[in-house]
Amino acid sequence: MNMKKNLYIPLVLMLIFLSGCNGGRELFTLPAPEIILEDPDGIYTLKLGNTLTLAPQVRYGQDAVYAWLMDGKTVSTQSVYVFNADQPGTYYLTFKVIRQDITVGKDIRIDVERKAVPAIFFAIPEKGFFIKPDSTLILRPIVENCQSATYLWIINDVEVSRDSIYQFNTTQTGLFNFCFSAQNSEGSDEIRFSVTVSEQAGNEEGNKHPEAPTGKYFRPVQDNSRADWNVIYDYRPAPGQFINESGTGGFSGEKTLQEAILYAGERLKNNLFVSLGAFGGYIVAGFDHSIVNDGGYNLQIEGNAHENSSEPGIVWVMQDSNGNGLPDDGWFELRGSEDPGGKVTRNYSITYFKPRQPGSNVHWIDNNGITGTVDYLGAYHDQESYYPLWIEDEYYTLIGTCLESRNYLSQTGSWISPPYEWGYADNDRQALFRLSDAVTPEGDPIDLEFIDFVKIQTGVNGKSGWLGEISTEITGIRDYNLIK
Amino acid sequence: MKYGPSETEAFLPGPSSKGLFIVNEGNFMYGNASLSYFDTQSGIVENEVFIRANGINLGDVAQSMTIHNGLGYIVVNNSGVIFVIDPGTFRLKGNITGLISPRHIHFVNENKAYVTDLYRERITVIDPVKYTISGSINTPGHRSTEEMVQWKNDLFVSCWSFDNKILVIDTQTDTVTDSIEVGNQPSRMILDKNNKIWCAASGEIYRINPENRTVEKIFTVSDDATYSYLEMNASKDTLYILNRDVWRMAADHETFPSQPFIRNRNSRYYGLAVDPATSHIYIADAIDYVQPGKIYRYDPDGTPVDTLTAGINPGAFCFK
Repeated sequence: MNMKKNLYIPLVLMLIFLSGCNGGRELFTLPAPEIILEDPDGIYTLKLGNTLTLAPQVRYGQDAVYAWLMDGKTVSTQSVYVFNADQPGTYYLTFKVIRQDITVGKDIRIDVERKAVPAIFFAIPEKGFFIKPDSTLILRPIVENCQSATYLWIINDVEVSRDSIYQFNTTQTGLFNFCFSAQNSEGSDEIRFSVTVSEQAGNEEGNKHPEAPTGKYFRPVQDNSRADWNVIYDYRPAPGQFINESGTGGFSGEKTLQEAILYAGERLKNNLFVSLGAFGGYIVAGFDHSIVNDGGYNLQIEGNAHENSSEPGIVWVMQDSNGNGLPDDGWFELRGSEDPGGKVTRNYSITYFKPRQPGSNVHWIDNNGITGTVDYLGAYHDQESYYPLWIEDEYYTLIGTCLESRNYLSQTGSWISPPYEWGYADNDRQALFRLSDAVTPEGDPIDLEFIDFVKIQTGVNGKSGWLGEISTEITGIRDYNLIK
Repeated sequence: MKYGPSETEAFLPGPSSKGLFIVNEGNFMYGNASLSYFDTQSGIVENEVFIRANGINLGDVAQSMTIHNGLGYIVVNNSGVIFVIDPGTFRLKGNITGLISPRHIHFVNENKAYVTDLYRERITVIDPVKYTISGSINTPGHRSTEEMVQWKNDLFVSCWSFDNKILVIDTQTDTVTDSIEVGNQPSRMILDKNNKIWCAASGEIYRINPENRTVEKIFTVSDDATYSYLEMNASKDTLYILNRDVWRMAADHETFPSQPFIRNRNSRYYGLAVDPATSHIYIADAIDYVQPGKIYRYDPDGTPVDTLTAGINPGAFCFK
């Protein structure tokens, strides 16, 4: 998230003063300073109560001054920094070497572990798993705090494996009761679920393909039509640092979807941002009239992007083909500059797991089996959980189109997220979209005469150190035909 | 134990095509070496893929595997053979025989590869395309040659068993031209982004400048001269050292880290690998040297993710 950059500016100014003002220009022949950490990635894991002494080696640091920044604030100007692990969580330190001619920085992450009882995160369907005989089910739970853990898989009271991954296949039909446990010296956790092996399993699956719009229920612009959205139908953000947050995020303990939708609507009415959280989080809005595709720009979706802080959201549109006034028809994506040509993954999905304890990272697994976390950044956003309070399920899955993230840590130690060329919300100041960019799930162009609903969805899975996950923020959704 | 051709299984080349071969040594003189394959995306481990795909046993003490030009070369030490397989289907494409106690293979060019040997004062030169022995390089006084790393036209080879030398071989003339003295039992060698050779020997890590063939710096890993496994990430700027614990050190750093990166979990660590694409870390645990070993997989930041079962004494890895 980018709002922290505002805090960052006075700090940068201060550093410039620190580095001294030499009026004239001098020729510096020294190479840029090099910072060498004991841990090359700058990632340290500590137990609660321990201390960590950081003493980076600096090459070409002649006459340089140092600054240690914790979550963007200067905490020391010495060459050595001692970190005390008083509170569990993830901390970001930036070590800067400021020479008259150049400043270089290096990011350091410190993870302070809480009491390390294993916790298992696993997406179990409500009625257990259903598979056909002789097919393979790969069971790969995420286990938090699994340092030196041992695992045990039990099927129908018989031990079958001590690995963390279990590959189940059988020719025998019937119900199999599974128990998976993880144990270490601090404690244990276990999950139980069933697997039904049956010839009937898996037949209901089918790729839902949006039907071609009927074009039957056009709602023309009336005298009193407004350019702004008029109904928020859904708000389902991914976990993120602004979700549930009362400060900048403006939440006030919303515990139902209705309350969350009201929250989103009020925020947008006041031109305040609504965060969609990490990858896949979305908001759905409708209008009091249909928006016509005239080949030019038809939609205006505003975000809070500024220079080098692109957090692109994919824009989807829907026609009310069945005329019931609800967004239950087919979504069509508005393609942007990355499609075709860039790295775009359609039907990318991520499952987010509700954390067990307050102040924890949110674990996720994607449909490629890759796991990760939305980091808890307690120094900036200290609400108990980044997992939406109104989502009661232990996990939820978000599916969408994923762009390759472009963020990187610059030489000077700030995170840069350069914008994409065009076609994404919260990407740059250009906030206009053409309905003529609509594509089918295969990426082929589709001609939509008009649309009634808009969905904006975070379109990258990435994080930027102490700035946290990349999340699309929206401040306005409008029919641009009525403005232009 | 199975002998001779038996029923074979067809493996389809995996769609993700990303995976890791685990070479399981087996037990000396038991002929129970095996090959496992771990598909990193799906998490599936297939054990004994060599015998399942080919109907024949891998042999006695599988030592190492190297993929070159789309073919996998598995060096089976005590069987004196190198099996060449298709890494996608695990099917045998050919074999190179007539070796005494082969350890590792290094490809000099398309038609020439070197094979080190544990019990011979020579390195065998093979033709990796025709699967034949094409010559040899005498290494007088050095009966055990082990790992190889090439810098420009010079090949550096460690002399492991009861030795303390690294030999320099001119790959154009196939002759030994120089030697460098290091600690006892030098084994693993690796070249970093600064073109420095790192070599593990007698509980220490040596940083060697291949240009002037001098030891630049010695880092002490353990005081009891135990064997160290050495690996490097894809960008060749970070070393991973397994010696009881796993240590991680920047190639530019001048001091050995004070704290381990991953602590030993009371295991008999038997192998180390770092994914060249993702920097995930794999540690092999031989447990009791009899039952199938375990593989522990860690995130790049050292968080454990998977625990897998491989074959007996998993010792070497090869990324596809």
